[in-house]
Amino acid sequence: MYRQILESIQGIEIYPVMSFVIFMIVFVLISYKAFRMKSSSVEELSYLPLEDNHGNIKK
Amino acid sequence: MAMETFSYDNKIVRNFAFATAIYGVVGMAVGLLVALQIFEPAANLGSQYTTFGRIRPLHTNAVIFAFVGNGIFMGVYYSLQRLCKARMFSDVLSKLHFWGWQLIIVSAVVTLPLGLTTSKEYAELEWPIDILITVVWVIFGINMIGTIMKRREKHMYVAIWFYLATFLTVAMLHVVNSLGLPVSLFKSYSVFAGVQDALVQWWYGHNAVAFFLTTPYLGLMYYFLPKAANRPVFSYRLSIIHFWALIFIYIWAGPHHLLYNALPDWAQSLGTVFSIMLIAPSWGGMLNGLLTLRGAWDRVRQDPILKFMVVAVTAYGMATFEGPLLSVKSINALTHFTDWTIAHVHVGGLGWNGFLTFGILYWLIPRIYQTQLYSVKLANAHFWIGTLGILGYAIPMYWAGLTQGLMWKQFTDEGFLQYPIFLETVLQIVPMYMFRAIGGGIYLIGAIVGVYNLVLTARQGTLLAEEQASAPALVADTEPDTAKNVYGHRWIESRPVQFLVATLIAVTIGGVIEFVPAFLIKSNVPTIESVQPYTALELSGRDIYIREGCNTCHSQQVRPFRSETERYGEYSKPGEFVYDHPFLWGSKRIGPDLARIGDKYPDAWHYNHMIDPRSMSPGSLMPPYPWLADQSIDLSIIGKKLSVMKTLGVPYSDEEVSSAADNTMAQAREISEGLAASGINVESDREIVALIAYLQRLGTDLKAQRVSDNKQYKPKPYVRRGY
Repeated sequence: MYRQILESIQGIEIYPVMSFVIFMIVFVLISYKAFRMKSSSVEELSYLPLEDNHGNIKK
Repeated sequence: MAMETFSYDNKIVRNFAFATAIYGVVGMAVGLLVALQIFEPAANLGSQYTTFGRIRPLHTNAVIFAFVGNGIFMGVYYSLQRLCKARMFSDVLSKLHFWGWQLIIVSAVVTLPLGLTTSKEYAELEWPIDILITVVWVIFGINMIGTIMKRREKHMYVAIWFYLATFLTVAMLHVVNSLGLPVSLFKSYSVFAGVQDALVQWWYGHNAVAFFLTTPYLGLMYYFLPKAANRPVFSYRLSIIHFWALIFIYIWAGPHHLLYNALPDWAQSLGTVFSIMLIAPSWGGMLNGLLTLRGAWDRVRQDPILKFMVVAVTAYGMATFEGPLLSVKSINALTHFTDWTIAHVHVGGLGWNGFLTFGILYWLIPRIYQTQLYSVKLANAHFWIGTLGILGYAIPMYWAGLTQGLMWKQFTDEGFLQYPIFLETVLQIVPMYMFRAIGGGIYLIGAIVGVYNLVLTARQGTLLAEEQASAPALVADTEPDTAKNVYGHRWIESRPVQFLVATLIAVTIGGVIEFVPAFLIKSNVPTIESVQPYTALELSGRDIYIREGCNTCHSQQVRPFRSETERYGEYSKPGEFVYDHPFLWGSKRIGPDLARIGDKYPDAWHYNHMIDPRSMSPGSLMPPYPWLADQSIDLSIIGKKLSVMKTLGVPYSDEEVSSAADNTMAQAREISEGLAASGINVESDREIVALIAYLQRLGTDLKAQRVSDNKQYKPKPYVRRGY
């Protein structure tokens, strides 16, 4: 029943296709950007949380 | 470059940490109480205020928003200051945020047992509290973004991205899903009805899991796991892909909560496909967490903090693998409405959220109290007790879910349901319910041991309320070519505003594409001619059904399977729910589906069943509702209810609105006279009468249509509308 209702909405079949296309574009773009990062900068950024020293900790 | 000195606010972190610990124990204790009630109804303490339907939402709200919520803020306030090399933006906002959030929790603790609820899962709180949540959330956002703006570290570390996405998306979800029209100070109706309401609710419900229980905790994982392991995250590149893929895909997957329900096929498929795709970013994140420990596994053996974190990340991996599997339609057909779902969420809740929270607490409390953990042995004990608790909880629930799901679908060789009596399938799994309570109890004991250890740790140290730090000021980019030099993802990492916009776009696309067609349908849903609005009395009864949380145990959604149509009747159609503000499809069947309960039993059966369920169905685990026979229907508000419904598009006439109270009593008298004929004397203004009217209405409109199709349609003996 619902299939019929949805078929009556114009252009409904484009929605699932659109979803997938948008996702793939975003995914490929982000992956490309991520892998294009310089190794040195990646290293520097991944050490950000470890930068602050906890001088006050009695270890 | 000039060094600036400043101090980190540890007091606010301490406050949130204490709140986390306290509400953790409270929320789990309430969970244990509801777990006991499932197999021993007398555990409702004989009071309406502590009966399952009302305190099960208290449990979920307490653990999600009080325990995990405070845990998020604890971790964010600690890590954000250090990652930004800046104190929180405003101490006043920090305090307002803390006390505002505690006020919300206290409001929930008061209103939910009173039965003041919208019935929407994890969004049960009524509209004044919803507004308070919005205000406090915005305060949190301003404080967080303000801190980021005045940071002394140019780049925002991956944890901050997750915090920002959390803030933005939760705000959007909360506002859209809570849209309602107030009837009174503590009663409102959702602006959405039926299918639309269901879609919005599970877009919210699913993403509450995604953006309240997952993304902020991933942010915490990306900060605290490297901290505890004292080594950087395995792959920063992977974390970039993890972040964007996760927030982009998560938002689409909501419809997997409504598979085989009265929802468009394409939306169901979309939910399934995106759920399966979710495995990739989820496992990317999990592996990124686990591989951070590469070369440090020897430390995991000795350090209880790392043990907690490893199990947490593993539980995240298991739950995010299981979730997509449960979204496959053929698997969902078996597991939906069963305890499998309960097992699934508790692997995530107890394992991922619970263990990561405790890991962080064990790491953080000694540091801000300038001391060492009071007892590493106790922390290790907590770890093993907790792990045993998770297993003791999850295994019986998987067993129960699978057993009951199979029993519901089992046919005899002759083609009849093998277990036609729903109760049979419940009684079969009662031992599993008992084991589950034991498992949950063990986990709670572990949590209490943990809190004890943390309190003693705090007592042996002194709080370093103001932690001094220094860092060079951030020099603004004045040269135009700087931006060019930093290309790619690093560019956006140092631009919070652009980052927020990109995140907003990523999370909005999914929502928009999902909703637009769904709302186009509104004008296209074939109105089933015989589906009429509820009478005033039935609407009152429906509100009692909502107040008592009947929907926590009973679905109103017959799926299109032979095993369900045989058991309950015709499968549910979207057109049946057009006047349902809010929808009451439910998500779990502890009791049978009620979509077709109308006219199945006489009124007297319902009366006796409400007063003492075991008198009508021996062995039933439903709690008794004797107070319904003592409390009167609130006639003062019924006209307003109809008028609000009318505003929302339910076709009540002005005459029906103005004479709502009279109509209520007229129909109620008819029912009480009928009951009197069966030897039951009850005043006609009692709540039980309204509830019976509502239950007897459920599903009857569709039957009326079928008769009409056969050209034998005769109006029911009593006039439903317009007394």
